Amino acid sequence: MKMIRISALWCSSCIVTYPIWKELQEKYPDISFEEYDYDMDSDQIASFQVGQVLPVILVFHQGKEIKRIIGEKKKQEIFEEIEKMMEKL
Amino acid sequence: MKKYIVILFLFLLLPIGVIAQEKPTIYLFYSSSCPHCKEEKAYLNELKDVSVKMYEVTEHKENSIWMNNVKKTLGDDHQYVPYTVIGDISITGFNENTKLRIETALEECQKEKCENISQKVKEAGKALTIEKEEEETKKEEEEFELPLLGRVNGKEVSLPIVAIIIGLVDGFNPCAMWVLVFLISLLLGMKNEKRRWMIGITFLTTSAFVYLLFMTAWLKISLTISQITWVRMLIGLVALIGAFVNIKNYITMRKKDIGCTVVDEEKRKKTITKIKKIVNEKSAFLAIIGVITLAFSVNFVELACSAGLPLLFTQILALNKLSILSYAFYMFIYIICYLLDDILIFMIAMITLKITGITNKYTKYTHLIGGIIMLLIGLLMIFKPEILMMNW
Repeated sequence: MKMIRISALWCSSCIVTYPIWKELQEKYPDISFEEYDYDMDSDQIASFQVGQVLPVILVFHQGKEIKRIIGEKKKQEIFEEIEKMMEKL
Repeated sequence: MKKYIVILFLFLLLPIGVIAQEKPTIYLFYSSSCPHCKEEKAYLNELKDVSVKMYEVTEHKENSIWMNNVKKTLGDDHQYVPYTVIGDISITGFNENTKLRIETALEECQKEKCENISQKVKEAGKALTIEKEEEETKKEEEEFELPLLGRVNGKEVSLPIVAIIIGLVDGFNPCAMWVLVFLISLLLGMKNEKRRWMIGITFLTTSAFVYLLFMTAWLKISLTISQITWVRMLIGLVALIGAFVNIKNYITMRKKDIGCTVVDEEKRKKTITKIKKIVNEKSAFLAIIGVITLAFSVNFVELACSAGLPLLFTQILALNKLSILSYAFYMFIYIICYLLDDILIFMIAMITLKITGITNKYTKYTHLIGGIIMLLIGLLMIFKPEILMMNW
């Protein structure tokens, strides 16, 4: 399983939600986490078709995108969505 | 016979005050050689339900003495004409603004009987002293008790409060915030602390300067054109349109995901390259020049994004008769409040060496609040402009 976060240096929502992304990494140590910058890594993220709102968290399972969390969400919301998804797997 | 008694009875019931209501009297002291006086005379002659009394003061000494006694009584220490007195209200000069004040004064005198100061001074043959108590009670009505600030006069406080509220709402508008956040993110990677502070402070001061330039230019325009009624109405209409756009933005934003909207790709990339160049620039002088041009270009974009609010605020200033110093003072308050969130983010980042972003959760509310403010000001500008004249 893999989680990818796409943010930008100029995006205050990305700054505000960064601690939540850190906590996710601590909570799920056996999942691999990757981070990309919307401007600096535009080539690598082209295929993800991120859209107009940042940050974006993509969840992949066996190479397939199974979840997408868009924008500045509360910690509880993010954790609940991830847990629900984990239960389904 | 009975019929006549009934009619007589009804006649008595009528509030006599309504029939015999005295028409308000306008006293105009003018000079035959004064162009504005001619304009005002033509204007006053067209007014209905008022009695107009005109006195030429340059060729008739007794009129000049009388006028000066009235001025002394009403505390008007100047030599200008035309000098108009309605009850105990005096108005100097004649333009669109004073027309409005004449109409307001007439309305007040129709509502509540005004003390005919000019007539009293004429009968007394000298200047009078109006009982201070009357003025005191009027002042007291405008005063109220505020926590921390204590006793405060509403008239004197309302303009600064308007400057603070509109400045803050304008400041929370995210249009150009992303540039500052990006600049700070790169500055934090810079080892030279002094250079960090220099670049950041230059960006913020240039942003303030650009806003001051824009507001001063707009104030100059407003001071001339806004005296014309239809122009004021037009600006009020523009405000209503701005209100509609802002409230519509709020409604559409409510359904969307909260977060940073990726603005125009090309422009953003250009700005990002500019910022990188500034931060990596070896020469401090060139870095400063770079950040000044960046701040200029970014803030002009910002103006288009939020031009409504500063424009409306300068319009309110223009409606109030202020000295240049007061205009500068209120614009200074506005700009400080406008930049407050930028200053806070910059200071916290420079001190903690960690960038703190401002959540975008409340961005939509700045559209709502901005829209409501524009709606209010637009309506007042069209229907009740005198309420915006807080300084009289």
